[in-house]
Amino acid sequence: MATETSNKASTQNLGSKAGEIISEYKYPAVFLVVFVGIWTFGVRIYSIPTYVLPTPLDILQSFQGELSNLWRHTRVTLLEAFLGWILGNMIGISLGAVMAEFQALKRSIYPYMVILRSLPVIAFAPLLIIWMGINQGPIIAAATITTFFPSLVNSIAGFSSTDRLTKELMHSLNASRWEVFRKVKLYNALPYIFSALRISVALTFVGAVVGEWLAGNEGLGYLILVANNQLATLLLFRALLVIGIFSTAWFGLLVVVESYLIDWDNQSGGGATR
Amino acid sequence: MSLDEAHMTSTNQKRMIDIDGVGKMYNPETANPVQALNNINIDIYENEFISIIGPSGCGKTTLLKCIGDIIKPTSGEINIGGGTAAEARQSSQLSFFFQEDVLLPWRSVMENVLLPLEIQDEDTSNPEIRKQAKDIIDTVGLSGFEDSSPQQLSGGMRQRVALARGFVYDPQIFLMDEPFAALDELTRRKMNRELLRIHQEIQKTTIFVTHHIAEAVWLSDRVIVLSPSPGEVYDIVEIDLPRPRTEDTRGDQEFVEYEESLTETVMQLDVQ
Repeated sequence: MATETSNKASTQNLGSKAGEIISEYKYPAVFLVVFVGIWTFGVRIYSIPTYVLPTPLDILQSFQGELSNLWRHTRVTLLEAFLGWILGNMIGISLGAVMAEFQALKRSIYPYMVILRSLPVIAFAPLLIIWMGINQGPIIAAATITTFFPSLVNSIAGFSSTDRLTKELMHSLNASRWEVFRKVKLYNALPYIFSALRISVALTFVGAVVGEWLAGNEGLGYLILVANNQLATLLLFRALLVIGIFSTAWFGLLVVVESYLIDWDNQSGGGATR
Repeated sequence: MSLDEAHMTSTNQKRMIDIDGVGKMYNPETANPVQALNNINIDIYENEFISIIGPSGCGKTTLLKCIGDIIKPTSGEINIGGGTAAEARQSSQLSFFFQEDVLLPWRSVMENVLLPLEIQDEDTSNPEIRKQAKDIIDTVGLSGFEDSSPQQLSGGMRQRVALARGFVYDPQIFLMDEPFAALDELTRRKMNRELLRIHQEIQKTTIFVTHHIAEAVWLSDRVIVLSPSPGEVYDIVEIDLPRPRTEDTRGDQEFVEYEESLTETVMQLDVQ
């Protein structure tokens, strides 16, 4: 009987899907049109020079003939951001799991993590350069560090989120610690892990761009720096737009993957957010 | 007199659980330790259905969790089938039923029921093992829901899954901590009827914690009344009603008398 009702519900969903999409995107679409309109209108009325603020149309048109060059730099930044994101999350999630499992370890090192976390990444950068030289190493390391902390915090919260009753059930069934971890805690941690993966997309770009400012000779961050020196405002906007597009797409992809992977978590939004 | 009852009253029945001077103190090292249980002595016999009742805070759940080796008593001993409670738990003789269904929401009904077997390192892809799980799912009345996820089920159905999970590995002793307390009145009565039916069918030693007195009388061979702070055995009442029991049993004069006298006892304890 329950399956029957859920089938009915899903057919209904399909029917109203288009309407749902329209109603969901209606407001932001209207906002975008109004925003672009005011922007363009303001620039024209006050005759603001392009190097101060180009119109949205100027920005779009400036992509012409620049795509291959832009892609060359985008590739570099994407790789750095991706590697930093992967490394930071891998270290953060696994360390978080270990710290949640072994409270003594958590109590010993967590206070220092909090102190470390309060330092700005940019303060680490010169050190990273001294250790690794002027290359992609310190850039990836900067992206790793920015990604690592929120990932660690979420992972600890996630792996600690199993309720007492479930632990008692597993104990009563004589499950080993490893079985409790693998069959229960890991699943309970997944929404928190995905939350970390999502949050850290924006952060890994911060790390990569800042890293490129200090140690890069290519990439979108480097491009922004060059554009800034030359007052090439159009180039600056192009770089920003590309970062925005890729980080949003990346974020969106994670949302989709999560909704397929975690189909049981309908009660909580999943996870600490910082 | 039914065969069953004759068995219960015979003197050479096998002792299954021996609770000997058990006490439990919470926060023993702190400024305000709480004595939850004090000097509990109960013998429980094979295939007996025992209910534990008493006012809230009398340590019913604590006692049950001590028997299930979920918490350790601070004094006394619990002997189950010739070994310790820990040995009984480790050799899968015990099955604990919680106040909530505690289903794993990422597992289907079938996978939830297979969980204990999986932990016992059974090969859960083996058709024979799956048949065993399927049979239990049928027994609790969930045929056709094997592949449903717990979120699709009602509270009563979820609790049935929890029962199936507790039955599937054929344990010798059921420890039930108000398993139906979260359900509505009607569903709870239905589940009690199921429980009675299943118990009459498979005959396992059962300890049933409840605050529902009529329920305790209807299901039990003996009802143990605990008094609060600290939890102590106040009374043990033998329920001398014939089995098999039915809905009609609830109307018997004797049933009503048991219920009234136990209600009186518990209310009196609650005031103290």
